Amino acid sequence: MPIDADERFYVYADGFYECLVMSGRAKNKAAPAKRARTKRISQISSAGSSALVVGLGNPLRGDDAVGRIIAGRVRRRKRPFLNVVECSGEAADLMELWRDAGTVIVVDAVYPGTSGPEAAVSRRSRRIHRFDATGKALPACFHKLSTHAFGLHEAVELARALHQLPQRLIVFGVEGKRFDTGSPLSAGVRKIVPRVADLVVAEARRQLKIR
Amino acid sequence: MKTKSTKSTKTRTIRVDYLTRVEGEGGLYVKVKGGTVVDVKLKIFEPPRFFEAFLRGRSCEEAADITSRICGICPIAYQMSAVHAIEDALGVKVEGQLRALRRLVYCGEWIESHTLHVYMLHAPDFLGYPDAIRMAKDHPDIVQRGLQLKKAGNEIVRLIGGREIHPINVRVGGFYKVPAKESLRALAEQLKWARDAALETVRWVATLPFPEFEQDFLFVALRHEKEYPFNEGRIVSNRGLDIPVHGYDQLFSEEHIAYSSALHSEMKDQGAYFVGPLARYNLNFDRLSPLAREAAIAAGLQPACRNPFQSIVVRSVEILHACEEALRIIEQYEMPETPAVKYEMKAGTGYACTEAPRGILYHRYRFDAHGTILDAKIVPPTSQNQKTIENDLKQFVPANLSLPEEDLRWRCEQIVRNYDPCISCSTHFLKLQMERV
Repeated sequence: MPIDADERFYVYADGFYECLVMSGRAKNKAAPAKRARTKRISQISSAGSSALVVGLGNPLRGDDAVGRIIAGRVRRRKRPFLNVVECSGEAADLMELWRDAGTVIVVDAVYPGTSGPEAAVSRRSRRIHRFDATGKALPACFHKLSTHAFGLHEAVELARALHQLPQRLIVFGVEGKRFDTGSPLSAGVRKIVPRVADLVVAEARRQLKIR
Repeated sequence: MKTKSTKSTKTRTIRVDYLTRVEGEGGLYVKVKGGTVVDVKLKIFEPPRFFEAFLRGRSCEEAADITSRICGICPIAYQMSAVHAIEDALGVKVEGQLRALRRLVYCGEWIESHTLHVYMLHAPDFLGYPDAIRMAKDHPDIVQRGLQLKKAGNEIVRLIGGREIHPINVRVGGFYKVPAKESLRALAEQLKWARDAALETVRWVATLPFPEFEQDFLFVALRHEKEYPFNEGRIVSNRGLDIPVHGYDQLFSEEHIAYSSALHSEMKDQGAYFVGPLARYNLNFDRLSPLAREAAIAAGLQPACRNPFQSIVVRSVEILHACEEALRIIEQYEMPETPAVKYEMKAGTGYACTEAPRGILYHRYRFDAHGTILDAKIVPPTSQNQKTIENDLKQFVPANLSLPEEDLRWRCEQIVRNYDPCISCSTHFLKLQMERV
C-alpha cells in the first residue's frame, strides 16, 4: 500500500498526539491508555515475548522522517509481539526507552552512499541497510556532524560503555536523499517504506523465533 | 576530523575540518606572523534557515511554535522570548502562578542544556578524552549522573511544555494547559535528587585543571530587581550599561561577515561583548540562591570570574540554582484558574530579551491589527559571542605557541567550547586552520 500525505500526518501525529492531549489542544479518551502502554514497553520487551521497534527522526526534515513513518506503518499492522514507539533520537531518551529490553529494532535515516559488509539487505533496493549493533559499533553513516543533541550512535556507544545495551539491538538504516526543513519524503524513499516495514516485522519474528 | 600540520621556523598551519563537540558546523582559521596572531576567523558554514523571513505573513500567535524549531536544545528560550515580545506589544502582563510556571519550565531547560554541555561536551576536554563515550568507559558513574541529571531537566520541560524537544504548550498569555498540583509534586523527589547531583557536579568540576586565562570582558546580561534572571529584567553590563530591553537596537548591532554564514554582533562604541553564564554570574552573583553562592565559593570561584575556561564551573552552579528554584516554585505552586490571560489583538511592535542557557536572546516583532507579522528580528546568544570567541583566540594563541601542534589545536577548539556555542541558532540567516608566516 503506497504511503500518502494522510499517512505521514497520522504517523507524525501518533508520537505527537499524546502531547496535544496533555496540552489540552486535542481531546482523545484513548490517550491515557496509550501512555500506559508506553510505560509497559520495556517490561514486556524484556520478558522475551515481544520486540521494541523504535522509529527515529525529525518529522519536519524530509527523509529524516522515514524512521517514524516506517514505525507508524509497523504499528498499524497490530502484531501482538511488537511494541512500537517513535523518538527524536536524543541519546538519553533512547537509553531510557530500551533499558532492560530484550530485542530492540531501530529504524533511522542514513546519509546516501552507505557501504560496508552489511550494506544493502534488499536486492530490490540498495538503499536499505541492516546492522547488528549488539556486539559492534554502528558505522559512520550514523554519526552526526552536530553532536549537541546526542543521537543514535552516541546512545549506542554510551549504553555499551555503561553496560546498558539491550540484549539484541538491530538497526535498519534507510538512505535518504533530502533533509531540508519542511520538505516531504523524497520519491525514492517513499517507495521503499513498505519494504522496510516488512523487513522490520520479519526481523522481529526471527529474533523472537516466531513463525 | 582531518588535521594538517606544516612545520617551519616561520609558518604553522593547523586545520580542523569540523569543530567537534559543538552544535552545528563550524571551523577555525588562525594566521600567526612572528609570534603575533594577525588573523582569526571563526567560520560558520551551517546554512542559514531564514526564520526571520518566513515569520513574515504568519500570525504572531504562531511565533512561539515556529521559532522553537530554531533549536532542539533551547526551544523554551525561543518560545519565551517570542511570547514576551508579543505580550509587550499587546500590553499583556503574565503574573502569579503563570509567571512561576514560565520560570519553572526555563529551569528545566537550563538544567538539561547545561548538563549536556558540562558532562558530554566540555568535561572531556579537561580530562583528556576525545569524547564523552570514551570518558564513560573510565568514569561510568559520573556520566550516568549526568544522564540522570539531564533527564530531570527533560521531565520538567516535558511536564510543562508537553514534550522536551519543540514543546507545544507555550502560548501568548500563558499556556494551553497547566499542570495539576499533584503532577508537579510528583517531580519534587526527582528534583531533590537532581539538586544533590548538581552539588556533586559543582564539586567535581572544581577539581578540573584550568589554564590561566583571565580577560577584561564586557559582560552583558539581564538583571532583575529580585531574581536571578530568566524572562525579565533590564539589560546591564559590567561597564555601566543599564537599559530597558526596548533600547537593545540602539546600542547593539549586527554585521554580516564574508567568511561566516552567521551574523556578528557588537556593542556600539565598545566592540565585542560576552553573554551567557559567565556574564550572568558576574552581574547577578547576589541573586543566586544561598546554596549556589556557597557552592561557587567552595569551588574556588569569586563573585567575579573572568576566566572562560571556568565557565564549566559557573554552568554547574547555574544547574544547582535552577534545581533549587524549581523546587521552590513547586513547593508554593497552586494551579491557576485559567491557563492564559485574555488579550485583545492590536497592531504594535514588541521587544523581549530572555536568558537562554547560552545568554540573552533578543526578539522583536512588528505586526498589524490582525496579528500578522510584518517583520521580525531574532538575535541569538551565540552570534553575540562570536567576536569574543575570536578575541579569545587572538589572546590565547601567542602565549601558547610553544605547545605541541595537537595540543594547541585542542586548546583552540576548547576555547570555542567554553562558550557552548549553538551554531545552528547563530545562523539567522572545527575546522581550525592556523597559518604561521
